[in-house]
Amino acid sequence: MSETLLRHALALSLALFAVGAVGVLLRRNVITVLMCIELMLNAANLALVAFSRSWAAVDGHVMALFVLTVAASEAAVGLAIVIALQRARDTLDVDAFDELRG
Amino acid sequence: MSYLENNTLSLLILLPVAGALVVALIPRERETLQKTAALLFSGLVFWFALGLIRGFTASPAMQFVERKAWIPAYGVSYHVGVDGLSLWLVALTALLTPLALLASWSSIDARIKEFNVFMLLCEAGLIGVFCALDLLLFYVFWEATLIPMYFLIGIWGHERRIYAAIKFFIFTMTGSVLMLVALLVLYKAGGQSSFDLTSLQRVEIDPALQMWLFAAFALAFAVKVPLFPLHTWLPDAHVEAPTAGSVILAGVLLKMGAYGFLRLAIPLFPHAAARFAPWIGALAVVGIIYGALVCLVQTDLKKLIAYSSIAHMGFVMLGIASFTTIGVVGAVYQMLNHGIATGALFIIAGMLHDRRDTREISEFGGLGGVMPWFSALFLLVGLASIAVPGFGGFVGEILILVGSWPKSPALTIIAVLGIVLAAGYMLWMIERVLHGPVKHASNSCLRDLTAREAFVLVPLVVLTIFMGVASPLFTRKITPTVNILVHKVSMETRSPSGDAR
Amino acid sequence: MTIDFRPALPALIVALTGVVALVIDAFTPRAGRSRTQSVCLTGLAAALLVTFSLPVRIGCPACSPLTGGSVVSDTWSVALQALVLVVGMLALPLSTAYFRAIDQDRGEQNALIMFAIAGMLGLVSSVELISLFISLEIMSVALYALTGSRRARSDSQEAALKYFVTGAFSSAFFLYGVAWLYGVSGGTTFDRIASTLASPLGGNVGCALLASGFLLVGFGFKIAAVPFHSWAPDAYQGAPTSVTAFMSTAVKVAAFGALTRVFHGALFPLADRWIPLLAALAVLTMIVGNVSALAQRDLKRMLAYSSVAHAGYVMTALVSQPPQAAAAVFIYLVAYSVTNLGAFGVLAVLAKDGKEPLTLADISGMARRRPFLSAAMAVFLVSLTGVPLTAGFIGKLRVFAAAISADHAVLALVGLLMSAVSAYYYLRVVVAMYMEPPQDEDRWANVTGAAGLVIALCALAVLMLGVFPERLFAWAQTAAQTFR
Repeated sequence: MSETLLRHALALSLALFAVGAVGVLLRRNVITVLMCIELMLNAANLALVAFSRSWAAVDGHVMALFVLTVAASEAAVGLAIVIALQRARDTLDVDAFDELRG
Repeated sequence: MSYLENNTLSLLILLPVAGALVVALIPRERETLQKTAALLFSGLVFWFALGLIRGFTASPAMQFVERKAWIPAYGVSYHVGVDGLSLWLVALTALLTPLALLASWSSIDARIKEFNVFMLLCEAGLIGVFCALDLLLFYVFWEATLIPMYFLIGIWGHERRIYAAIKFFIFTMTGSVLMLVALLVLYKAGGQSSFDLTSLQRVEIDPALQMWLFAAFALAFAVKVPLFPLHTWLPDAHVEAPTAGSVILAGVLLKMGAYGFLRLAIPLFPHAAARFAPWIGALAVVGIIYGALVCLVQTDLKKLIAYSSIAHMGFVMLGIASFTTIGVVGAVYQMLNHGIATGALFIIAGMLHDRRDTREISEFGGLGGVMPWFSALFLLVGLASIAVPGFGGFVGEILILVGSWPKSPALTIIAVLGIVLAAGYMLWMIERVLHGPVKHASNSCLRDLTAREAFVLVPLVVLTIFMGVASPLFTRKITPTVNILVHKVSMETRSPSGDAR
Repeated sequence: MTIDFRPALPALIVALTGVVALVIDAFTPRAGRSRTQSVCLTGLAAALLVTFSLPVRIGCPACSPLTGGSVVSDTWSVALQALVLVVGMLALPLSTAYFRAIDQDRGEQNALIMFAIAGMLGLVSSVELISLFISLEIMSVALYALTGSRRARSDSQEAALKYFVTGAFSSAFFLYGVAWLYGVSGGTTFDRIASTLASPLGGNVGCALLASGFLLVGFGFKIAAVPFHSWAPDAYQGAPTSVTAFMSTAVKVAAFGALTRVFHGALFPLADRWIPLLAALAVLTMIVGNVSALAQRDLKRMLAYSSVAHAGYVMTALVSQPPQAAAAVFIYLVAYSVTNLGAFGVLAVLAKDGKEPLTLADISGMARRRPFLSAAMAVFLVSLTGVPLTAGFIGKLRVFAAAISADHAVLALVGLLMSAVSAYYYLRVVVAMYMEPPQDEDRWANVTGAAGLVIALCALAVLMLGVFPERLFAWAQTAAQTFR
């Protein structure tokens, strides 16, 4: 993998990660927030695969596969929680979840 | 018997703990048995303390030394011993605890079991503080006294007890965490091998660092003494505490601070101590005058005694800051006198409170005719407190003034003014309580001393007179240790670098 | 090519126990009570036995992760795994008692605790980034579900959601750090990373620091260090109390175990760069945690901020040199775990008929009705304050001594002054229990059986460790041998 391609891949990965992180912090809909987190994980995947190619090793690829699995299980639990909460409060706006405060 | 003789100090520390356990195991309904057991155990402690005094020889050496490894990996040992500085304070603790228990025999009527447990634990902690020769052990005992006293004030105190208890805890804890930081820095400077006092005294510390470390230790101790302006916890704690708590607080707990200066802060950092001495002396004198002036306007009996403690402890600190043998011996002696006289005053205030449920001075008056025996003892205790010749306090204050005169005549003169003020507030208070006509009808039929109360007060009064006329018996055992200490500081001040060794 | 699975055995046993517990509960008639507690306890005990019987430092650190060597059994992992397992064994009876009190004992929480523990065991024994990340996720996902396991209550769900969103967010940061660290070093084992970072990095030093920063943020969320702590009060307050007890102790143990290994193992060559950052975070955490706790009315929330503060104390130890830092971290974690588990445990076991004590008023005068439980709670609170003769003091002593030995006396000063501040809010609980009049009616449960035993054991451990800490120091010495 050429140096330039690696640079481009990393730049894209950084951009995706930043978009994801900003989205988590700014968006108010829980589903969108979850999607932004997925975006961040995939940014990491992209970096892993790019690095793996540049080192000519398989570790990064393997890791990316693991991450996909982990992300799926995380999403399963996350969505279950979201559904339970949506039933209780009838909203998906994170600002509405303010029952716990000091 | 030889086992007991070799382990007297451990016995003195562990006996109250054992007593606390025994009391804790007595069924809750058997209240008299709980009180009796606690009294018995503290009496036993006093008995062994008398043996300690008998066995103590007038020499500067540490005596009754015991040493066992506690946390060897960290250089912490259970190392205890007494010398001229601590001997009498141990005895004072052992004397005041049973008397305080007896004084509150009937005035504590709720949760008697816990009360006795905490009193005994407090005694164990206090004796431990005065005996510890390992810095971490000292710190452990220092903090260990905090918990029982916190409960004593918080559970059995008067109206604002919770506020007073928390304030007491936070003030002391803040001071002591500073001490802990300094302790750890010192431990590092000493090569991280030992917390033992004797080996840490040999550590050479950079003079600039010495100043910081001394300041940290001094702050912790100054809160306890208390030195002006760190005294604000004291009136609250003393006033709100139950009688027994006030007696232990004023009688013994305050001495922990002054003792800390003599045992740790000064020998460990003599150079810095000499540099800070004028400031400590000045603050002490401010405390003397401030305490006395505030006393003049008090309407609350316990508050007056509390503020007088600030003034009296100012004398103690003035004596310590003089770094002359006479002055320091006077300071140690004055600690004993103050412990006995102020302890007795708080017991008296407690007796009045038991009878009338008030501490307002204006509520009383003319008690001299109603309670003659009580009034006579009250007068004697009052005179003892303001250092009238013939009482122990006189000897202590004279020694302090003589000791501090050559170092700072100005401070000494102001301190003398404090004595005059003390005579003023104390005699005026006694006059308002004992003399004149009986103003309140409820005062006209107050009971005079009961046998139990007399048994508490008379020994203290006799002791303070005895200390006034037979002071050499006491100072003889104090002086050798003080000589060494004063010599050490004077060596340090003469050498410019601060490292005379 | 042989793969040595033995270092992963404890985690496998625990995970398998979790599966078995799920199956048992699925196939036995349920009367609102799960029967799996004893099965889970047995599984944990077996894992503990295996942990100690494994030969130390086996596995194959130099091998590629595909062939094994991603988890090891060395002194650090044995010590931390044992601690996690013991905390788990203590937390299980508390959990059963609590879930029965709120009538939700369906058994799945036992299985989830098992899965979380399996993740924690992996976390503290991983010496390689992929297994570290997966262990972290196994632990986290199980905990998200546990937090929300009080399904009837929307505050439990809200806590779960907040925990989940911040947890997943931090996982992403963590993973991104992992990716960049892999990019810099070309390998995922800690040994490989450390040796790469120790050699001249040239232009890559920026990338390495970026990676370290991402990892620190990821760990910061897991240990609830300020400014990544905002989820902790909500999650701790909303989660079932027994889960909070487990979460606030075991998670911290596992996360700090891994944090110590990553920063003092893999990233140690960059220590000069991250120590100031860690020190700053520690100061911030201690101050914000303690000061925020002052203002809390809810007991669980107060204890949540207190555990934020305690994370700060532990971080203080990490600024010193590896063996000493690791020993101090271990000692603090032991002291903190038994104390905090006990404190939350007392709140959990008082639960009755779906209600539990939430505020100071709820426990006022408790000393009259529950003298032993109140005494235990007082011991825990005094230990959290750090008063001598309790485990908490020993922990603070070691942690701050470590900081001072590394010439970070300011950290120790801030930490100890903050302990004095913390005395205020801990003492308020003691005041309520001992110095205020009791409530009109006795609304709380009588503590008996295994849960009571757990509280007693915790209190006893706090006092024993405080008075005779020598044994603990020896364990810590051994545990820290990994970091020589």
